[in-house]
Amino acid sequence: MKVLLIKLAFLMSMAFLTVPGSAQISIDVRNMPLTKVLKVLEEQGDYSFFYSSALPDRDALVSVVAKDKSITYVMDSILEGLRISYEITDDRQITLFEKAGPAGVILPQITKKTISGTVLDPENVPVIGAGIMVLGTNIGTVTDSHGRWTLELDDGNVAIRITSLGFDPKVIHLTGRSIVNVILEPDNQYLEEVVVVGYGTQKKVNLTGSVAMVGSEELAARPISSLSSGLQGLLPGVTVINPSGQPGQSATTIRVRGIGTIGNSNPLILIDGVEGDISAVNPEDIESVSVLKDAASASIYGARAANGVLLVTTRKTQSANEPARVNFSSYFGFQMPTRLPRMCDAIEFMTLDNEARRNVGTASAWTETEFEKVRTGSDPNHFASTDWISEVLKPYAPQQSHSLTLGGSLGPNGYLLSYRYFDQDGLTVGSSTGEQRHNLRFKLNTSLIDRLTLSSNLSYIARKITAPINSLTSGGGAIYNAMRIAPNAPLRYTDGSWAYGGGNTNPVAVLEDGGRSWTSMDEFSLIEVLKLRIMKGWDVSATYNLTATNGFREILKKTITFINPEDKSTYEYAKPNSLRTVDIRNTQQTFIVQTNFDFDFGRHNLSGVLGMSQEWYSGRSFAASRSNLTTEYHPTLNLGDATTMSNDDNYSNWALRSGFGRVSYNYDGRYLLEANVRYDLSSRFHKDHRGGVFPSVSAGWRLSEEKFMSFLKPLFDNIKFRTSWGMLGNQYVGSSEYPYLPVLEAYNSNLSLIGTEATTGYVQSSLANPDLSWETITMLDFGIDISMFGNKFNMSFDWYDKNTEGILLLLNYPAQIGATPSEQNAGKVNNRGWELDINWREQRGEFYYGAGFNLADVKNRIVDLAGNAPDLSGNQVRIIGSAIDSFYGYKAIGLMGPEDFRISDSENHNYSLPKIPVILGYDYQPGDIKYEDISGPDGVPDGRITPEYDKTIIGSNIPRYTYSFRGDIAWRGLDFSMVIQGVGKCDGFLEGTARHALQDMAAYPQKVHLERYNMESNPDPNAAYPRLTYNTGFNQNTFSTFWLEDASYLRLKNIQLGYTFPEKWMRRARIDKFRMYLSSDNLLTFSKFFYAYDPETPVSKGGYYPQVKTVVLGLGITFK
Amino acid sequence: MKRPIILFPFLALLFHSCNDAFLDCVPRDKMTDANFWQTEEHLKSVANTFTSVLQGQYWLNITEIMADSAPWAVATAFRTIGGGNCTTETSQINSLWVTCFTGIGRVNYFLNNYKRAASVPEEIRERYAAEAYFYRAYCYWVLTSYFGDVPYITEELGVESPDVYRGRDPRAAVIDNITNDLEAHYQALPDHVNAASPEFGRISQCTALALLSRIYLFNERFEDAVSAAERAMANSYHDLYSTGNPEVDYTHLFNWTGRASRNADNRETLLAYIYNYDLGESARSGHNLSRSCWVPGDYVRFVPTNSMIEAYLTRDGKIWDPSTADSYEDVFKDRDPRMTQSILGPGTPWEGGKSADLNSTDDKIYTYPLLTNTKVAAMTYSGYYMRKYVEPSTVRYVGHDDNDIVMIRYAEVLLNYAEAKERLGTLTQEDIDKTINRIRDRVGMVHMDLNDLPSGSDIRREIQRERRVELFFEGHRYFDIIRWKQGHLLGEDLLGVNRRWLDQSRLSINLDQDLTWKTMNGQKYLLIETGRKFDPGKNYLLPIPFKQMRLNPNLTQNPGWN
Repeated sequence: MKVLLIKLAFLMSMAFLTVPGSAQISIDVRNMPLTKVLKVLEEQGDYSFFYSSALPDRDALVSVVAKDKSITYVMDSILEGLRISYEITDDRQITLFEKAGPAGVILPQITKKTISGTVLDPENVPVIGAGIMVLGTNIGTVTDSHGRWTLELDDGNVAIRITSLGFDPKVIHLTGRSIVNVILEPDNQYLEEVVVVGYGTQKKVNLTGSVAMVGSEELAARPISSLSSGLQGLLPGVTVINPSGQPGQSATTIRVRGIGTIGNSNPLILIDGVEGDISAVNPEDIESVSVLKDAASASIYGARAANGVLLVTTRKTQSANEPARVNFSSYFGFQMPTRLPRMCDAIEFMTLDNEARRNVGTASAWTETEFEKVRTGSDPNHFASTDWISEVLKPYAPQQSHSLTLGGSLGPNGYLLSYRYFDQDGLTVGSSTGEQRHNLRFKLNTSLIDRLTLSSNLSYIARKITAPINSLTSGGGAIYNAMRIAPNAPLRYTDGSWAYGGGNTNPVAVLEDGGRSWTSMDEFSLIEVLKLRIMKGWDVSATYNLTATNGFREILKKTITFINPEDKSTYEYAKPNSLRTVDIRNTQQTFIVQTNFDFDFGRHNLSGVLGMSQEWYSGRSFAASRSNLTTEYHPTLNLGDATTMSNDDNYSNWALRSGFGRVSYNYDGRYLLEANVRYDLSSRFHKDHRGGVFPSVSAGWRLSEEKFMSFLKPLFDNIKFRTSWGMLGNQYVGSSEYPYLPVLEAYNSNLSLIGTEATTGYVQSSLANPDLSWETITMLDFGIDISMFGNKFNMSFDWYDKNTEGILLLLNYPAQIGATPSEQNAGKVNNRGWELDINWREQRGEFYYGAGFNLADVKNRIVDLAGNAPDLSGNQVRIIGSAIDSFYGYKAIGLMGPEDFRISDSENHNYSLPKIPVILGYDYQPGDIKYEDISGPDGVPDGRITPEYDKTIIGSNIPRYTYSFRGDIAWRGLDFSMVIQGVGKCDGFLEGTARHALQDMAAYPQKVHLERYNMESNPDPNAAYPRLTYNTGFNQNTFSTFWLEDASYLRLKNIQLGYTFPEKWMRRARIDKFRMYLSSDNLLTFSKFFYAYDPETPVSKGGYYPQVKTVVLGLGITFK
Repeated sequence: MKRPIILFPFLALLFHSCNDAFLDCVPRDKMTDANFWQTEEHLKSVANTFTSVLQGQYWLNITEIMADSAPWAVATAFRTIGGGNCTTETSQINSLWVTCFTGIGRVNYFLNNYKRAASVPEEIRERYAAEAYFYRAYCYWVLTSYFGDVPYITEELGVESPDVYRGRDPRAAVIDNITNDLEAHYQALPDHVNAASPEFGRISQCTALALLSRIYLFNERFEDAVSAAERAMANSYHDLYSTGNPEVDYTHLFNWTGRASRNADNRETLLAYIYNYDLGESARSGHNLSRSCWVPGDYVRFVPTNSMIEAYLTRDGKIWDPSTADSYEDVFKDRDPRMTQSILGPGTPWEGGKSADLNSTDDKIYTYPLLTNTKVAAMTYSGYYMRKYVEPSTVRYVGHDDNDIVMIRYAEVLLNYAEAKERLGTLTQEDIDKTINRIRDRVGMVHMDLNDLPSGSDIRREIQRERRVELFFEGHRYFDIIRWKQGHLLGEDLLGVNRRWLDQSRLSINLDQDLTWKTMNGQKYLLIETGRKFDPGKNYLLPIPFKQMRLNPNLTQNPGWN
């Protein structure tokens, strides 16, 4: 019962791994025959040597002087200059063999010999595809379907290694045998695989909840700028969305099992047990990431677990007496935008602009004179042709990362020190975006006295983020403005100075010379864990965490003066110049006391945890500004005009106090039972509604362990049924930390001054609701895990039903309520879904391959809105029976043609009185969108299109059928891997300039708009775009299926080719492993989404910094 | 085994010390209702927030763009609303509704709580309460003018209050209530507020009476309108702004020279929305009106229309005959002096960039309109430019204008008085002399004489003309058209300059080929917009917004909008 021998490791403690001791050797021999030296070593160092009688140089005289050196050092010294290589196996056997001779040298004739054998597992089942390798050679084979193998060997070869995934490898010394039958012992790694769960760890086989975990190998294999983006596609049921590729602004959203609530849907992210920013962690530090998906596993985090919990665990420090290990990894690469809009050139724009104006009965804007100026370039200061998108963005930008990790032990203390430097330039011109980050982590495990250990985990993150003064958002900033400046405006005047584009400011000039926002953030985090081992299987620990974030931001707005070289007319942007500085200080503290136990009583195992925690946070930011700076070269506030100074000071705090417990019981590894409970008190609610109890229970049955199922054993390694039920809470209410209090806020925008001095008003920010309390989530989960073929095949399937009740909902009230209503505990949302994860991995000789596939779906549905009428005036609505924020609009049925009008006089371009149902109130012409008349006041189509009867749910931007495929292949030193990731069903919607042309004054057309409906050139009722209507947006603003985008996609998330240099070559340089790789993220994307934007952001106005694809070249070296 | 025994009580202690001060987190950068409502500063700071319903410069965007005197040249939502091309879902109509009810909500919150400030002297408390009544009346005046009947809410509402779903109250009842409130409370206000004082922007008795006269007039309670106007006119502080310089006084009233927030001589402005761009960054406020009227290098936003050009009388008080003008310059010759002080005439200094006039040598003097977007100067879609409200020194900067936006001024009270008297049939020459002719005296315009009205006109039309001319581009025109039942004016095409007044030889563009003209009565006018409509059975009121109808099933829709 190996299972019972495994020790349970606890979170925030180090695992007590049994690593073979690496005793140090001292030896002093001079000019002794090799065979004799080996004998000395056998006696002293507990090693066994194997070599062929044909081994060359076996009697060479060698010398070696070593004191407390490793065996490899000694061996390398002895064999220097000889024609001998060696290999050390785990069981301290050292095989010597002949080095491959130089080409052209004729080696003595060696007799061949046939050796065969069978490989079986302990139940005498043949092991298929096991690899047989002759040590020191490239000769090998694999076992057949009966586990048999045959090899033709040189007589001199002395040992073979037999490997198969799921089994411990075995080295056999042939010593004259010609038939070798081997029984491989199963590799307990799978059974021993430990998963990090709430306040502890759990063996994977004993899990009853739904927990997904990724280990460091899966993450480390990929160069990623941040952990959050690296998780994409790796975990079933977890959706990661990157709306922007902007350095330092990673606004990644993570969703576990869909969107459970209308409010905050972010999962709780704990880094080494304390809440943290997942995007700031050094990816090289990560040991594993667990996702607690169901209520049973998450309920121990109670009030904040409603949206799932991500547990990020950083690398362990090494255990005692382990040699130092140094890892260095580095990559350098480039980022390129995935998709960009292609805007019309000046001539195309002016043509479409005139057409759009004619179409709404106003005068043309551009005469032939202006067209001629563009064509001939005769007036370059006013009529040019500029592709603003390619002026604001560079085609590529570099990024690099270098990290160094040292780990080892100093006596009984293990330490780990890691450092990473990350530097990412942005794609915007003028070096206006970028991030530099330093991550430093130091971990130290100290045995204080016999049973008491102290683990320290210190981390320091320094970030410097550069951004333009106007942030690059969906609907603002330089990229958005590049779509909103006329293509016929020049970038520069003929004298080389910045040109001024008329009504819109030159976005390139603003990026280059308009100033900057620089943010530096220093995050210091300390986690101290004091753990007392009371007895075997029982300990008590206390954890204290302090995370202090100090930030400083400078926003310098510089004046740009545009001077037209011809008439010297000037225009000044951002006058007066100004500097605003913001000082940010946030402190979060956590204190946890817990006791964990794990006892075996015969076949019974009882384990659990009991504890309490409290967390408290305060945040303060102070901002001050001055204008009229005397210099724009890195000024401070002192250099501004004192009469223009202004400042503000923001403060917020919250606290949480909780008790929690878990009891797990299992009988014989067959019957598993677990119960969790958490009690939370949150400062966010009124004293009377502060507390919440969140219980859960779960059970598992390992069918495969039943005696009566033993006939399945040859095929099935594990069959486990799981079920869980539990409750979770959500305390995140709107944006306020005090949602139950009636708050009055100082406010000065949209107010008239009184006198001419700054005037402050106090307004009630929203109506208070003292009855506010938790959202409660109830979740039911059924799961099955199956492992087959010696754990080569693993499958896991979960079905769940998640009901969120008492959703903290901002209900809709008529405006006559006169204030912003507060949230209320009203409304129910149901999420029902399933997740499937299938993995196959196999080693055949030197060939390894693995494939994984996961598919998940969740159907979101609003069940109740507490009787409140839905607000149906927007494009996205909340209606009972539909997904949260479903798209709501008309069904478009093509474009109107002349035949759709009663008065249709093509000669005079006079079309009026449409025959078809229309929305009354607009001036229709051929080329406008037609809508389906779905119903009317009498329940039948009424010949009119009205919002009351003809709008319907037309889609949803909640992704359905998220899937990913991972494949990897390794052969000898070569490795290749890929991750394909996608969404099977999702709708998107692009607003304003992102999608439309000329419907407002600064919406400039894209190339695709050349395909618009036009009475003369393109009278196609299915044209891709309706007729152009200048500054009139009824076609565009009336939301219909015409504007719905298919945001499903399939993306080659990562593809990577690596090569690990052979150990033999590296050993001399004390290099344990040296790998180089070429890797690319987001290289290919297949999607029917609007060509210009990334489908990962299905709803946008197009101004976001583009999503990027990257190509990097990297290396990783481990020294031992 | 001693240590765990120590630990367990410790653990238990932590479990039990639960719901204590540790969890009582309160905001420190905000006030809570419990510690508010104590000092005069508290009352005042809430009263300060009422001004947001005035909307400042945006008020002109709403009202002028909807009307026919100086709309935006290119279509915007408010132009389509004014031109009848809107639906119940047009979001800007909903915004009008929401803005007013948000203002009403703030007033009601104040009125429900201000008496808690027991230590503040009653007269001070009641002064701010009177401001609250003023702004509630203002909001309902806007709401009833646009929508007719509206729900009348006077209490601070919570989500459970039945009035959240109150249906529409008859307009007359709403007007009765708000005017009664104002009549009952206005005397708690100071007699007047000095211009250029730190109090300027607060409400005075005279301001309240001016609003009362407006509300009465709009609701055809002419006797009450006369009474309110008379009481306001009796105020000894307020008067028309005049420095004895008829050439510029009217223009200065609307630019930086005369703005009442800085100029103590301006006793005319009763209520203005005040900006100051020179304050620190987070307190700074400004708008873009001057630039949007003269923007160099682009097309200007607000443009005077032909109908406005034709509305001005001749300098000697006759109706202007367009056929007497043969050139662009002629149009501005010998007209009511307010014309060139409101609309840019040739020869006026300007900052709009290079002239379109081939003969022009000085780009700092306006000569001729630029009719296509050459991107070197301000282009106009109508052939005319604004002068009223333009502060030339701020045209170069985006958003730096901090001109006061006049919401109520003394001249309006005089016009309200004259109009109400006329509607009562009691208008005398003496009434005209103390109202309209005083206004005309400021600019040196010939007096209106009851016995010598322009031929082909009548006193009602002349009073309406006087109001259109004097209050041009101040947000009155749309409401005046509606209450005068002249909706057909909104349904007509928007037209600009007459082709006959432009000289092809002075322009580089080809007038006939490059521009679109509309022929009317044998004359060609530059076309700004066609496709406007006005249905008298429908368009005198805006629709109740679809969103509000959905959220409150007790609301009924206005006729024609179902």
